[in-house]
Amino acid sequence: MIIIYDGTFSGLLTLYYGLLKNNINPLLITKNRKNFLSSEIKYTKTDSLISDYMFSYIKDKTDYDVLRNIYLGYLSKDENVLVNTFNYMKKSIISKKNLIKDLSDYDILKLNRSIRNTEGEAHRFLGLVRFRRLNDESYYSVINPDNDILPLMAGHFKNRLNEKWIIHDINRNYCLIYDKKNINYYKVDRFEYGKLVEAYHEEEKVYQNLWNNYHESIAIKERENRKLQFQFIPVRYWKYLIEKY
Amino acid sequence: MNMEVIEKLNILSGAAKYDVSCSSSGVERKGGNNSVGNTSSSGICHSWSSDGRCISLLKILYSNDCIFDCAYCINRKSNDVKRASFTPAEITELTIGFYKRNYIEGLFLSSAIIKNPDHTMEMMLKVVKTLRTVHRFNGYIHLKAIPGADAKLLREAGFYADRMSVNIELPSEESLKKLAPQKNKKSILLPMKNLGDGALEICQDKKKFRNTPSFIPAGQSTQLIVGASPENDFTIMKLSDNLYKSYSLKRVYYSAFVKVNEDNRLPDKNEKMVREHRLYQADWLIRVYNFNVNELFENSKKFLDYDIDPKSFWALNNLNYFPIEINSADYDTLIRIPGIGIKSALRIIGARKYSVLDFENLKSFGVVLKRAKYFITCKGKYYGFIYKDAGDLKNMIKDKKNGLFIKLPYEKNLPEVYGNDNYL
Ligand code: SF4
Repeated sequence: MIIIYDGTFSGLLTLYYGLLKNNINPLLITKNRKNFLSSEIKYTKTDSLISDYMFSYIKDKTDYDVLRNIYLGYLSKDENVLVNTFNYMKKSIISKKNLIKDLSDYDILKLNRSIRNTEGEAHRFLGLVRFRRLNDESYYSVINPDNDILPLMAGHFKNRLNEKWIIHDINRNYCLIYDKKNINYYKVDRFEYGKLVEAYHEEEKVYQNLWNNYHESIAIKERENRKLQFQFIPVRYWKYLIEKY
Repeated sequence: MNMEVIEKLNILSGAAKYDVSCSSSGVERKGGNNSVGNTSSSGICHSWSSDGRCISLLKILYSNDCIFDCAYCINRKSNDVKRASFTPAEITELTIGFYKRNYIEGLFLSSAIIKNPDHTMEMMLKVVKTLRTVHRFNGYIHLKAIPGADAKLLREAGFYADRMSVNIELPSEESLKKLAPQKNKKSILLPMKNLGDGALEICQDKKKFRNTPSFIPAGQSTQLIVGASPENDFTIMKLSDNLYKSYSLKRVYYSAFVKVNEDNRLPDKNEKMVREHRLYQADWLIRVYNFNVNELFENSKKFLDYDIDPKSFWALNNLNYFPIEINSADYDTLIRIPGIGIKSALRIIGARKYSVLDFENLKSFGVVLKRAKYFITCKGKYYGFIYKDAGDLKNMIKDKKNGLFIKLPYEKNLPEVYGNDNYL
């Protein structure tokens, strides 16, 4: 069976509840309506009461880490892993413990791979965010990650930069905004990357210049190794950096 | 920021680039109200330069206007190079500006000796003190201690820096005398000892008083040049081992000699990168994997085998320990298997609680089996090819790209802590 949910974490937990209760093994869980035969599809409706219940149910039956792993599965770019995540949750609940280390189990292995990929990407982007100081004294940055990593980055930057800042996931059209007190999520309707420069603070160009100079001058020319450089930052990630490769 | 700063930045970052360390981790610093920054405990790379190295710190010299004349150094007094010095304010502004834009994790500040050691150290102290007390900067700071500077200055700097380092420069006093005649062993080891004692003292005070300030919380490191002088690898590893044990150093960095000056006291050629690479691997083995220096060398040979990594070298010399059954071996045994690092060992131990592992399982976990398969059994079964003797096996597992080395030592690519263990 193919199941379509609304793409929220709450929606996913509601769905998992229904699957557990009715003992269903889904083929695919997705938020996209693709060209499926309508007889194979089922839609779920999100219910926050149910998802809250599931939240504490999972925590009580297993532990908090299981919830975290489910959440990480949910953030993965790979929707196929939502089924693996469900199976992992079910097995963990049945055996009343977190089975995440049982790598000989196919579902758990798949989930582990996705988690590693998502967390690895989030860690990498902690370095690849480039803030531009804007003339309204905020710091703006655009990123294009494969996985949905903004929620994993929020805490780090809250501790790091005590200014008003925005991190914008241009692949998913939403952003994090920190107002020196709280972090909130906003949807972005319209955005033109090329126009950002018009809002720059007057000193912004100077610093970008300094950084580009620095980036170039510390390379040891005799040991140039582009292959290695790209191994660490794939070409697509360079798009929103300041420095050029 | 004026144009002049760009020019200075070019000169003084260009001069600092041959420095080895890029680590900025092992220390956690929480940002507070009104402060700039925090230091995360697993290292973050912010960019990669075109030679494939990780950039995590703004690595610059305060000045390259040196009064000393070390044979191997581009900035030595007798060279005709462009000279420049920052002002403390310029460095603090640059650091904060870069840090807020998330270009860097922090500052790595070193310097040539301008006027005299005390003056140089005073200026560097001013930079870190301003960053911490005026700008409330919480990012990472690595400060080079200037040999011969007043112990009081070094001690004060230790309260602001996360890490300090005094360069050993060369592996023996004799070489130091020959190549860096204005430096001596005492002017290097004494500050190292003082900083170590300072850290120890504070550590004991911390047990008594809650608000004792931190003193170089990320510890001390040092750096030495390999291949500018005749010392062998065994001597170098013994030296490092001693520095780790007697001076509680966190890290020793090795830097393959690059010939920048014509000088008849120096060798004709650059040192091979592979040597530096093998030294890092050996260092990693004694520091993290509990190997003993003697285990990494055969009786008579005093150099590491450059054809093969030191762990495989040890394994080939001790084939009687192998193969190891991965379903029963303990952690210490697992990490001695060539190709299996800490992460892989932990994965194996985690997974085998649930089922007996076979070869396919290992593959699917991402354990690299290219070399490991010759040293293990899974459920009693061996999966490598049959070999005659150690020499035969060595040919099968050695790096095929002989001499042509495309990978830099991982120590240069990744800040410590972060994902570098699967390598060995
Ligand atoms: S003291 Fe340092 S900067 Fe000066 S010549 Fe020696 S190595 Fe170079």
